Amino acid sequence: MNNNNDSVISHRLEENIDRIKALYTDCFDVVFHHLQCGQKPAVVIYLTGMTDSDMLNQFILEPTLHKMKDEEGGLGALCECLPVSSFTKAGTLDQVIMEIGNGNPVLLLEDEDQALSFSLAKWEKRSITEPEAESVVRGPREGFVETLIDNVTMIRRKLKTPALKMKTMRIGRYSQTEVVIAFVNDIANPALISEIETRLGRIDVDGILESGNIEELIEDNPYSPFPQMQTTERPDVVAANLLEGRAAILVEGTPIVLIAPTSIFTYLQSPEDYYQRYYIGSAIRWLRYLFALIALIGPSFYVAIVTFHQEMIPTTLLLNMTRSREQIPFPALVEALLMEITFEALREAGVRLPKQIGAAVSIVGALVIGQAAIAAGLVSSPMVMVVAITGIASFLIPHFTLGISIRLLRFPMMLLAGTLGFFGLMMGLALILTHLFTLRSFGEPYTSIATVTHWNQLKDVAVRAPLWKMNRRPATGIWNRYRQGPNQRPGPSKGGGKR
Amino acid sequence: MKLGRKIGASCLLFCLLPLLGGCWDRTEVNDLALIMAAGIDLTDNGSIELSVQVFTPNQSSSEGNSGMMGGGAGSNTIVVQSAVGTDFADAAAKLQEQMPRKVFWGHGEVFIFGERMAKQGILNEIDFLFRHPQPREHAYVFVSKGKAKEIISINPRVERDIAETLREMAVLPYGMGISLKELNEMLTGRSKAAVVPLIERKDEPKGNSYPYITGAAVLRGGKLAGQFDDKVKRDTMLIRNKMKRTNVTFPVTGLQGGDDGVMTVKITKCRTTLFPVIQGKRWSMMVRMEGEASVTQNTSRINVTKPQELRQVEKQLNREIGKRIKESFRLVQRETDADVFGFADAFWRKYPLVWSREQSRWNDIFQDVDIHAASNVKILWPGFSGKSYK
Repeated sequence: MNNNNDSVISHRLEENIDRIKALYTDCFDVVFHHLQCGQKPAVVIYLTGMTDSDMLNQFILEPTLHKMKDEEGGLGALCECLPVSSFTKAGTLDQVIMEIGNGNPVLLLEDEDQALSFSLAKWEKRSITEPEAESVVRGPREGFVETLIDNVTMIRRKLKTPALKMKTMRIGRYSQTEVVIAFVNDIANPALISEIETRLGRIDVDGILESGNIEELIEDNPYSPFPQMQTTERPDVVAANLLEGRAAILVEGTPIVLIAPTSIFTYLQSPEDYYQRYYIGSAIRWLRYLFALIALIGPSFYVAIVTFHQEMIPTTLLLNMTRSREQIPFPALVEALLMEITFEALREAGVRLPKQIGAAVSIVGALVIGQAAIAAGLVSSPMVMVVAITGIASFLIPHFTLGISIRLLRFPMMLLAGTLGFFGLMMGLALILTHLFTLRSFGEPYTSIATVTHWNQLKDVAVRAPLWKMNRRPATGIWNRYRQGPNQRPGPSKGGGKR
Repeated sequence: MKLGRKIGASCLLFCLLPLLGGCWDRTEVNDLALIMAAGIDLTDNGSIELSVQVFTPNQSSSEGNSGMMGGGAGSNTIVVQSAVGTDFADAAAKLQEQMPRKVFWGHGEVFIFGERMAKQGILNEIDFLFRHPQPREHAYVFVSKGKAKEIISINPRVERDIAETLREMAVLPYGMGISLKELNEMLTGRSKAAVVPLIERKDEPKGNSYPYITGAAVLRGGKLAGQFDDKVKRDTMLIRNKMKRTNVTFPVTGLQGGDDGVMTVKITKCRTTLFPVIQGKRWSMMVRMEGEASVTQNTSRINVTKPQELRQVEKQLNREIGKRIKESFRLVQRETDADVFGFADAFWRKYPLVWSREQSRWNDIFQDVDIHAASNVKILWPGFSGKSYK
């Protein structure tokens, strides 16, 4: 945006109109509505479809035409008689263009070097619905929508403190997407906020269409297969993270909000862990840890054990496996790759297809990964079991972003296990672990458990401790250590017995 | 970028990995000939005959349905193959030559030595089992009456195959299963003697044959020195403190005569302790056994619910146990001169100096070792029915 003298609003209305018209050539949806404001000519410029035309007629055009009829028609007088709550004065043409782009009608007046912009932007938007990717049994049902201001409102409704700060900036040469950094002032580390601002400020691209674009442009290790920012479409998740000292990045036009920094354990937690009883929360977490491991090494473990370490299988099981593998023409590795690739293809087909055809895909899928495949002699039945369990395991990871990374890493692991046995499997695991331990998300170690400085931090990783036990914030919130008062443990009040 | 180059280099390395090896020595499970059990016999001309039971899954499922051999447990068939060689390893190599699949010893659970083989000595053949990386040390060892091949070729009905049958029998509390590792420890220990379950083939009509444990084979220095019946086997296990549970049937006489009979008790929590004593030239061993018993059968008129009668029964039970232990010990001592009871270790532990001086004479000394047995089994659960139903 060039910020030179051309941008100054001229006193002559005609000149302003000409310049704006020159910018908006071939834009049929820009309306220039000429009218008389008292004795002076005026013009209202807006985008049809993005402006509430009823409100515009009723509260802007009518008062301007009728009430101002006898007046001289200055901007100040106009402001006084307009029954509109929110309007701003724009001093430059750039601002005017931006306001028009946002859908706000702008009024330009002869002899004035300022324009009036009314917050009457209105467009068709999706109503708030239940988030589909993160559904819970117990917990709020609202999810973010595509409209930024609605999303901001949803967070603001959860955290009413003035310490909840929302810094805004525009990113994208052409898209001019509005991006909001939300954080709680007393809890979040200021260094984190300035780091996020710096990274966002660096972005110089044509357009930001989804928060995924931003994520890719500001993450710590761009080559890592692991996601380094948590994504969510749940306002309660964002609020909980803000209270733990993290920052949220909201992007106009998408319901997906980014949260930074994050650790790998975040991806294995679900908001419902905190809403159900803590025994259940802890047990389900352990189940997820176990199945995340299975999702990563399930097929490779099987391949390694079947092709290299037959002595490790219980005898009776081995006999059964030998019997079922007798008809199979392929080595176990090929068999595993075949099945896993088919499974991934089926899953992808199920996601992309319209819902009506999805049922057909699952029927075909049950045939492909099932009895028919065994009967055709392509795969053995233990392999079908392994693939099915691995599939379930990867769906158990509550965050799709990590689930898909683990699914991807499964394939190199299978190749390693199929060529080098357990030795290869261990090498692969060591490689992944080394990478995880070096990975950082906005300065915070990705595997926060490795950097435990206080046992307290395990309370939300090894188990889900009762809320009244988690007095300290996690490592991201050391800035402001205690999140609740002491002695939060509930129980009948002591000494105050009424009997 | 630098990192990009690094990743490219590591990708290249990964592409080279399969060439380095590993992939080529992988074996699919359907390329393995799984040896389930092996029998080692001595042939007439002094070479070794190795008979193995190989698991071969059916080539096609339709074949399995049409019914194959007499046994036909499940859809798999067990094939017995044998090879002759100058020693175990040679026979194993010959066996491999007969097989279309790679011989895999990793699931061999049972090794049976034929009677003749055992008489000649099994130490040389056991060497192969310990040197080879695949056979497991917790495989069970048996000595068979007659040829081991006869046992191996049994197609049992109850269990999957002969290996599973024998393994299950060895695992049972009365089975006295001896693993390769235990055998090794016993044969190379101070007493140089071991006791191994003795198995025999029993043929019932209609082609139903099964193996059963008839008693104990006593090995001295790796050679079969004697065969004993089930009773001696049980008492030996008692002295070795390897028996946790046992049944004892003994004659009882009541306080006021005329109500004699037989009673059987089940002893649990058996614990045997050895107290060695050396007095001058006399070496003797005090065996003390403790346990808790419950009455399982009573054919006498004694009312076991009466405490004073129960004490009397207890006394008779303990006298019987002591007598049996002494008898069995003396039998083994007289006939084989093999210290299968682990007395050598007990003496060494209590008299290390005397032992180091005398250990070369242990065989002579053992022949004259005196035994005293004391049993202190308490009948804690007489049950609610007192007299027998006579």
